Amino acid sequence: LSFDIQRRVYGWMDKTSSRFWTALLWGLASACSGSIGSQGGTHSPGGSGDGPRGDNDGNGSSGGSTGTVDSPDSPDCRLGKPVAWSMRRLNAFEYDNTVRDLLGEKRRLGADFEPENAVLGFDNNATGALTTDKTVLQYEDAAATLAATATANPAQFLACDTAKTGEDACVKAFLPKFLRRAFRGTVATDGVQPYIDFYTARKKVDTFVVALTTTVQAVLMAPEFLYHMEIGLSTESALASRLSYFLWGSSPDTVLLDAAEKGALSDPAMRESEARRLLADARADEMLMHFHAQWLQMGKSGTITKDATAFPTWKTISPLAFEETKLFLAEVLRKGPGTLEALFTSKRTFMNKPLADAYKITGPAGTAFEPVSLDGKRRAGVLSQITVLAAHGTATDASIVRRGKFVLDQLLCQELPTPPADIPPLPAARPGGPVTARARLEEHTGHAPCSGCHNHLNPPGFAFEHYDAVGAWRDTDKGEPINSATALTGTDVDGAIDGVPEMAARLGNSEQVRGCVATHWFRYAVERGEADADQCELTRLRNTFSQTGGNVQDLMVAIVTGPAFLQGVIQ
Amino acid sequence: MRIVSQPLHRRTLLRGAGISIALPFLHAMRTRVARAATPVEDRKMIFWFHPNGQDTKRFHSTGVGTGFKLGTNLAPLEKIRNDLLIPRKLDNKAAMAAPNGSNGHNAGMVAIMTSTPLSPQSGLPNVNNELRGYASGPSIDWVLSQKAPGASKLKEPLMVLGTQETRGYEFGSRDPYSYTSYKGAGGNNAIGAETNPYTVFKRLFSDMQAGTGVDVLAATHARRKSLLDFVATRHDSARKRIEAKLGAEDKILLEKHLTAIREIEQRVTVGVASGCQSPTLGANNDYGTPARSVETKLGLAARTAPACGGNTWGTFGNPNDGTSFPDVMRAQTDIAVIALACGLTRIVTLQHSCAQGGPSFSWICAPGHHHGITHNLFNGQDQEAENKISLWYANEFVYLVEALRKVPTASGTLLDDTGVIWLTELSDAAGHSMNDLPIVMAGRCGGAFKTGQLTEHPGRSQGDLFVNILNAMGVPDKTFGDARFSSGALPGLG
Repeated sequence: LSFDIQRRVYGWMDKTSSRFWTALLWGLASACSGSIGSQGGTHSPGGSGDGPRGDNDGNGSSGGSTGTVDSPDSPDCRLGKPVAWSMRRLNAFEYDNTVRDLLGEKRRLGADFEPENAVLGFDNNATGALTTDKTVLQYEDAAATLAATATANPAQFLACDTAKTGEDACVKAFLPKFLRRAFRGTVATDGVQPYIDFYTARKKVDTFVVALTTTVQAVLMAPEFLYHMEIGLSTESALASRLSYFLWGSSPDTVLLDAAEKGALSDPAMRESEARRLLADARADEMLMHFHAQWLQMGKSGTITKDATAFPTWKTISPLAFEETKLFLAEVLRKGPGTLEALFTSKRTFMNKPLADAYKITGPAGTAFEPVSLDGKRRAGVLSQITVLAAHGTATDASIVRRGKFVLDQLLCQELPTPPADIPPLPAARPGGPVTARARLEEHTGHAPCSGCHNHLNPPGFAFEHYDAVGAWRDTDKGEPINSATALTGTDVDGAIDGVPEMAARLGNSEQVRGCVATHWFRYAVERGEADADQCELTRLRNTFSQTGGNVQDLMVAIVTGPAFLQGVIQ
Repeated sequence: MRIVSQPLHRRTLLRGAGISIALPFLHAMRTRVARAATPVEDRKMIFWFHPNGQDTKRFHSTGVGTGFKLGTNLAPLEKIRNDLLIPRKLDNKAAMAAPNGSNGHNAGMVAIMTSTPLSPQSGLPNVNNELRGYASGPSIDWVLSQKAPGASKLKEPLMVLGTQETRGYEFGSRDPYSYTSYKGAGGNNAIGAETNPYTVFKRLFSDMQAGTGVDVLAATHARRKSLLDFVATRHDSARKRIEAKLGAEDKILLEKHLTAIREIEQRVTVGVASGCQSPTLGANNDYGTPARSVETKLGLAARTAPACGGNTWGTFGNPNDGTSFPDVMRAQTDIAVIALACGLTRIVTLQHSCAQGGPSFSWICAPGHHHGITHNLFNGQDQEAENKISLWYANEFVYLVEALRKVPTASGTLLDDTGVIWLTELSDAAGHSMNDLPIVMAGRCGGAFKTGQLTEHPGRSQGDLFVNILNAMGVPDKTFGDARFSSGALPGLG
């Protein structure tokens, strides 16, 4: 395919229908895979699922995610049935945040839970949570630990003078309030009574404290606590939970619960106002980190493996790098400009001395994190942070292909076809041959059929060559100077660039990237992949995101006030 | 296994000094009575998995019969050759039936213990835009735990123990690369390996903790049963409430949850064999504080690093660089042996990492990503690393076999009662081949297997071998897994 056609294929601003776009993409796919092997191009964006909801709508059709350019008037927009929200278990992130807000618990017991299946990259996808014996046991264990800690001082926990009021009276007064917070909405009397009965029965055979602890444990094992169960709640309380779990990764606070129960969330202005209140709260920082760690594929602190020989300080640096990114996201997206451009280009970040040393820059002298101004040449924005760079390197080396693929997949939503099964490995360096990783890769992939895909993969990857496996700056690779000069092609921000800051500056203003980011936020917010019925909404969100200059907070507000987010709760 | 009273206590230290466990050794001076066979209800199976296949040229043993010659990378097994049964030429046929576009590791992983092909599912973590999917049926360990006489009545019908590295090979989430074991078709039936030895320890042995008298234990059991029963009523009530309003899928979720609670509730009071000595926790642990950092819990001290080519080595015991891998693996192995000895379970899967995964083997001077190494064997350095890794796994296999041999039972030793099978998802790693799987077995499984021999079964599958295992464990099934790939038990193993 010529570059002209590629621009038409990839440029989401072009007026083509999603079907036409998809067809062209598959045309590119076959061309890209060339003739090695026989399996290229067999990937189907649909697939037949085997999960509980794996085969219905809403499983994501990533092939069309940025290419969909239908206007709301297009008949394609009305295809499909609106997708209902699924009942889903709290994931470990939400569980830990919820018990933090319910019990003041600071430990994060979810770290030991069976990990969720990340579907379409997100651990809150409705099809991703598996329920096994181990799941049930882990909740029993965690609930026992949490309940024992919380009830260590019963009078304080119950906020009630047990000596004066009486133990049973204190518990009976406490349970309705506690269940309202734990189950995220007012629980009817006949829903509270079983817990009072259970407490009463346990107190006949156990001490007061043990009976109370066991009752709290039971609450933490209840389906209304462990699942996003909207049945039994008012639709407005259900919406309150959707809002708080999207924007905080946690349960609604009493302000939001009260607003819901007063009926305030029926008013779109109030919905927006509550969403903006939640986004202004520091609890939103956890969510921002959780989303970006998944979208930008950073993994979790401690999950990125580096070779201990080559990188003996990685163990110390990794959690510091996560702290930096979290502080950076809060600064840029919550407190600061809030734009995608700032996310990609901001020169203001946060470091302490060990982290600054890892970045090889002069920065703070102590272990506390302080603001740091970057020069913008070597580093700027999230894409040049250790979290992102290390996650897309190997255990021992940088990786042009992984990093290039990351840019295509996650930032541009350009899906390449399946690599053929018989790709020959990169041969060992030969005497007198190219030395640097870039030169070797160019020699190895510079001709058909490899060049079909690598012409797309390699160029954005080259921009990262100044960063090694753990994201440290380097001037040479195997003794020869680094060349990070390259060009973006097939995008709406094509042109020559040298290094990540220059590339990021272009991507930060790309409509194509904005469209891709909007898709990722949509998937995270509605806990599923996009379906046919969402195409009009996605178009609206991309337009909103673009019209606000790529403002991420405005995008989130647009999502929570739109039909997909409100499906089933507000008509 | 009949555990008799008056156990001879012997302390075994779980590596890392965090847990010390008194193994339930029986009277060492007891006369060993050679018995023809252990009753089927006392037989046990261990499935021992590591990822990335093998360098089959150096792994495969040759020579049918008792005079077989072990593969170069199996040299450590020479000392246990009389305990070995090496079935050659078995193909992972179900993996070969995976749809085009799927990855060999994924296809191999879902098929290796289920003998069913990958069932594609869209939207899963996918760095190469490949077709991904879960198994199409239950795995052999699960089937045994349900069908082997008496197994499902034990405290743990099936124990799947892993290392912390069993998380998906990219980005730390679960994916089809993570699971050896399934209760049935699909991701929702996958059985996650328990990767934290402390959690396993607590679950298995908390009833046996010192200071827990009979009355206290009975009260604890009663409280737990009443809690689970109450929680089950809450789930049942929720299930009925949503029944009318939501789709079948949401109802199924709650039904699965409810079933699991009821099953756990039924096993609350299942005890351990009398005479099984209570393990004790070492002082150096933070038992009540779950955290992902296994090294903290195990109290691993920094060890002297080997000198590898003049490089400086990192601190050992850090799960982030994989160097706690050997410690966790030994801890899980020790726990598995104790659980078998104490009659807590009869079916164990030890899953060392996930398909296409694995640690960086710094501690044996073979750093790098194991998967990457296996694809680069033409490179001398990587060939050397693969040899070291393969030999290391062989040594760990011997450790397990010897640990089983140390436990006396009514029929001889635990090794006599148990069958161990070494599996990996592929045959030759570099080319993702599925033919002639690298499989090594040890132990007589109560007399069902004739050890000290190599057999060949061209055109047959591991699913057929699993039929032999089912039969050995007292399950009379004629095929296993997808019937297209299973034609019955293999000849010559008994």
